[in-house]
Amino acid sequence: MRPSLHLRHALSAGFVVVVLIPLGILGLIISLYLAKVAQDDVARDNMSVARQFETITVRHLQEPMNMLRHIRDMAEAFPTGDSLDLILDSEIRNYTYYESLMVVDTAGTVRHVGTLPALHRRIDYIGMDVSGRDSFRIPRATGRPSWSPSFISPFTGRPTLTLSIPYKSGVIIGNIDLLSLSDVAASIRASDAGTAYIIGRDGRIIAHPQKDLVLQQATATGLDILRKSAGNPGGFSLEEGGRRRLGVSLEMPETDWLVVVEQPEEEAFAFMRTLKGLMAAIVSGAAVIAFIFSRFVSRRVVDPLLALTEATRKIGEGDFSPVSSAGRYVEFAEMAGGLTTMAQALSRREAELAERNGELLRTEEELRQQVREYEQAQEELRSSEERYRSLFESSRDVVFICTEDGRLVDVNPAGISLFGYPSLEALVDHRMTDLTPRPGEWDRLHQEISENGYVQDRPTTFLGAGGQLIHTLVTATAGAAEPERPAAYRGIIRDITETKKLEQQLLHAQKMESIGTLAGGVAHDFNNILMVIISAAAMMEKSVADDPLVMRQLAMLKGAAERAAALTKSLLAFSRKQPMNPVPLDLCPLLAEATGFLRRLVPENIVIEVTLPPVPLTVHADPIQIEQVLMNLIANARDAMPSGGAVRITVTPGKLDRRFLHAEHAGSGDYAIIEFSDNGAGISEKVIERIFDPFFTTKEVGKGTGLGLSMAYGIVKQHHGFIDVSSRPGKGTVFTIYLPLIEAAPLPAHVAAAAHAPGSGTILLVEDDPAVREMGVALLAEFGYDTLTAADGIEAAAVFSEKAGEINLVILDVIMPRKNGRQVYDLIRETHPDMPVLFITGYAPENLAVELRPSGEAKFLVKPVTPDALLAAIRQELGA
Amino acid sequence: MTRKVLRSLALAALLAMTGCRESEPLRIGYVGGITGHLADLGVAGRDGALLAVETINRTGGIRGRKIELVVRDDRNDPATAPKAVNDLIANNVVAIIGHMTSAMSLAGAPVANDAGIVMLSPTTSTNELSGKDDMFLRIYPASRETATRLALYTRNDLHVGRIAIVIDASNRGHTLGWYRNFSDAFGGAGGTVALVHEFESGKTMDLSRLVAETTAARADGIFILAGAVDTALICQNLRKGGIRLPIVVSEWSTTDELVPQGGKAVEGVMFYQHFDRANATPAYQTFRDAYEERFGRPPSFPAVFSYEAVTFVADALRRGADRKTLKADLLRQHTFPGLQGTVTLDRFGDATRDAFLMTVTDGVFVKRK
Repeated sequence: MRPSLHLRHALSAGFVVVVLIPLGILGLIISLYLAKVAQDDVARDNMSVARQFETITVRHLQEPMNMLRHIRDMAEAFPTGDSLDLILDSEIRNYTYYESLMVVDTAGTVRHVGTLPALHRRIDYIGMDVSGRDSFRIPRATGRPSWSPSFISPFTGRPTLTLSIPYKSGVIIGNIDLLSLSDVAASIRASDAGTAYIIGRDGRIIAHPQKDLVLQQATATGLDILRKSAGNPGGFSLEEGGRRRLGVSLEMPETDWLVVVEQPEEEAFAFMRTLKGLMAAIVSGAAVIAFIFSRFVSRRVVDPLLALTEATRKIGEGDFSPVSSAGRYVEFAEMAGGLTTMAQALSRREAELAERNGELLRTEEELRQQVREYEQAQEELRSSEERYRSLFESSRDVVFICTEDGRLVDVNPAGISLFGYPSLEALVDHRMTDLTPRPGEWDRLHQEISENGYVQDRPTTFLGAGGQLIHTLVTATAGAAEPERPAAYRGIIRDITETKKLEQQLLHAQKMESIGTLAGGVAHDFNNILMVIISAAAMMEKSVADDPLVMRQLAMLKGAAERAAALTKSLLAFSRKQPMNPVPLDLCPLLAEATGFLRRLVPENIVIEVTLPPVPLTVHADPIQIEQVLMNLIANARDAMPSGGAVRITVTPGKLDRRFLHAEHAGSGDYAIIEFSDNGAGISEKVIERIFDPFFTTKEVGKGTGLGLSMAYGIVKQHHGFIDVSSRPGKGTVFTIYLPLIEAAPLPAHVAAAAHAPGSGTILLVEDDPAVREMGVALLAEFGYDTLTAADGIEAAAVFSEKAGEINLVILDVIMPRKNGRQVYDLIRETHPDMPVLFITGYAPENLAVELRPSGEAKFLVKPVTPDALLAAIRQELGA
Repeated sequence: MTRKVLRSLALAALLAMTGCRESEPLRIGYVGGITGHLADLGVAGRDGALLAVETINRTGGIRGRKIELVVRDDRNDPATAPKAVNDLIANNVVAIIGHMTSAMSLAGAPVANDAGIVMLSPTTSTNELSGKDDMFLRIYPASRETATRLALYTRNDLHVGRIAIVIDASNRGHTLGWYRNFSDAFGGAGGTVALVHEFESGKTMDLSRLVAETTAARADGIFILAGAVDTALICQNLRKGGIRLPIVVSEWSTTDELVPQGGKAVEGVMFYQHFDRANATPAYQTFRDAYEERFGRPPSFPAVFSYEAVTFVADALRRGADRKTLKADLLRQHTFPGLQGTVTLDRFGDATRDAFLMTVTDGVFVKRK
């Protein structure tokens, strides 16, 4: 443990203690001795004062007694007569001792009275009986003078003593006023602290410097103690009200009074306090001197010690100069000499050590140099290794090493990721022959390296861990044959799968382009040819109307021609040659609306789900044609899911990959992406390649034209968008349509804009369902049209023939009792071929639709028809 | 360790402070005439009160607090009395014991009323303070009762028909009531007041004239209403004048001075007193011994009643009363155990207590009947 006590402090404390203890003991002894002496002194002092007081008091009483004796002599000399009264009066007047004087006869009857006239009337007292009083009885009984106990005079209210002496004819009694004794009490200790007083037998205060106490007949406290200590030279000590009083008491034999002299203890021992203060001052002074002396001495001892300690420390630090002696003492000089010797020895030894160290240092430096060189070489090696390692690690191309027989030894991270393995360990040790699925491919490569020492950009197809084909170019060299190492190939594999795919897409696009051009040209010419055929057939119908056989043949011809026209229309659509009326259009409402009719195109076991974004997606498009695309796609999906399934249509905004855009010759930027997916059988890769080709179909002959998806393709292209398809056999097919977004605000749905402008004209509404009819009337009236109605075909024909002049438009339900819509239409056409007609149908059988559409200008609306769509169609028909 | 020392020092300091607070004494005032020639009543009353206070303090004080008796002298002077009472109030006393005479009580009670402080008189008998709901309470019966009793005794038992009444006019508060009650009762019982002789104590006293008047009035009994010293002197002179008629006095006359001053002249003097010097109950014996030990003489009635008054106040303070609630507490208490029997206070703070017929026989007060 480290010591915490300083020698200096210990020395100081020691000195102080050595001085203080004897001084303290001496002080204590002196104090105790002096206290005793002082107490005795005080007691002696007080006792002498008490005796003095007693003497004065006795004398004070003696004089009245002498006077009484004098009166006795007078009374004995003049036993009778009034002259005695006069003597008594003059005595009272001339001396102040007595309040009153009485001469009492032997029977106790007052005979003569001397008194101050102010106090008493003599007459009241003369003849009074005082025989019962002690002041009469005692002198009579003892023959000696008597002092009564003191009492307060009922007449003066002052302390009084009755003094009585016997004489031969009775007793002479005098009442002495004692108040003057209080003046004596006040004067006797006037120069000193403390109080002298007298108390009577009963403890009443007879004389006291404070006269009030006398007048109030106060009783002294501690009466028993005062009595007991009377005459005791040690006096008394008595506690009252928390203060201790010291004093002496002295008995006065004549009166049985006590003279008391007392004072508070602290006053009595005031000089003791001074003495104690002085002692304390001496002791503390001595302590200070002792302390200063101890500091002086300790400096004489401690300072040289500190100097020697400092010298020792210097030696420790290597300063070996001789140590000079400090202080006056021999011991310090010897210690300095010893330290000097020690320093010299140390100095010698240190020199030897330094020499030895020098040698060691030189050897160490050489060793260090070698280590440095070695470390530098290592460092260079490491950085070289790191450079090549990073080249290897960070290459985007696959870098590999394999044995001559095709076992992979090392592949960089790009390789692991390309082949789709989780780690290097999972990939190495594969044989190249296993990784190349095409038989003989690796062997040929191996052959060429063996012959030429390398291969350069050799197209090679690898098989990924997930079974995917990876198209690559391989460049490899044979490793230098080292004796201890097996021969190896090192090389780079560059992935060109994506490039190849883009190339194929480009090729496909070019192919579609050229087919489109071709088909467009053919369709155009075909249309012209068909117009001729149909026109000719129509003309022939008139001339051979009476030959049923020919008429039947003509009908067949006309039907075939119409089918051909439909095909032509599809081809035109594919070749993007059909007329288009694009407007800024929000896809969301369009798709929401389209869902309704799409549902009617599929059986109930196919569910259609549409997910639309919360934001508008505005494109530049012809809504009719976009609906056409959706119809074609749903038809395709329906055929892919003969046993039912789900079609999901999702519309999202998105940005497109530049590379992808390049391949498709599309503009870059924001697109609305319509994903149209089914969970049907899926399409094989072979089929996908040709899926958009016109007339390519997998359906049975007669079931499809092979133009549906081609139309879709053409329409999307015409909208500057593109369409993509991906499929996994068994999982379903996804068609993705990309349409470029535009900034312009969309027009309201194509009918909405016109809906609210009021129209005019009269419309014949033919509808068998009364509810629908009424609704229609109300709706049309709301938009400003007058309405005529008919509940079936016959009525419709009647109304029309009657009011044809007023009617601007006819709306026909297709299927009605008695005469169907088609028949009514034919009737109208007979007389008013220009009359605009709108067909409305619940569910158009395919043949009816086919029959109607090419037949002229009639427009065909499918129930349920929205008011907007109805009004838009009316407006279009009326040319408003 | 230092901390422990500090903690005990702090504790000691705290105790010392608490001690200081505790030792702050409760003050009880005493007012009476303690100087002058009528001081025997006031001095004895003061000594009785002092003994009570000293006894209480010796037995632990009141709720840990000592009592200090603050004494003021009314000098039997109606002008001084209010000043003395005011001085006590300024000294923050909780109650005032006093005054000892009716005249002083009449002068001092209004001051106590104004200050709302209880003035409990040990010896005041005046009727003028009876039946008042004020701060003045007393444990001494009003003179009416005692005066009536004495008058009837004088008339019926001593068979006095014509009474001479000697009155000290310097204590009119006491004497006037007594005189009226006595003369009413005496007249009512068929007696006649043959003479009323008034004097003023310490000033005018013509005893030879009194003797002459008494003789002239053909009185057959004398009733003296005066202090002990005056009574003694009057008796001496009556005897000296050859008058040997029965003398009755009020209790006022019967302090210690009566016998020494009166000698044989006061032998046979009759009076009713509410205090029996020879009472043998332990409570009184204990008190008497303590009083003699402390004051070197036996107690007289003012000392006894004064002692009781302080004791009753102290008991109320022990019950939790303070300066404000003291009156209510005392009146609620109703009955008090006196040294020689029960004292009862009515709702005005007027007292009822037993009275004994006393006389002086061979220089000693003795009980008659």
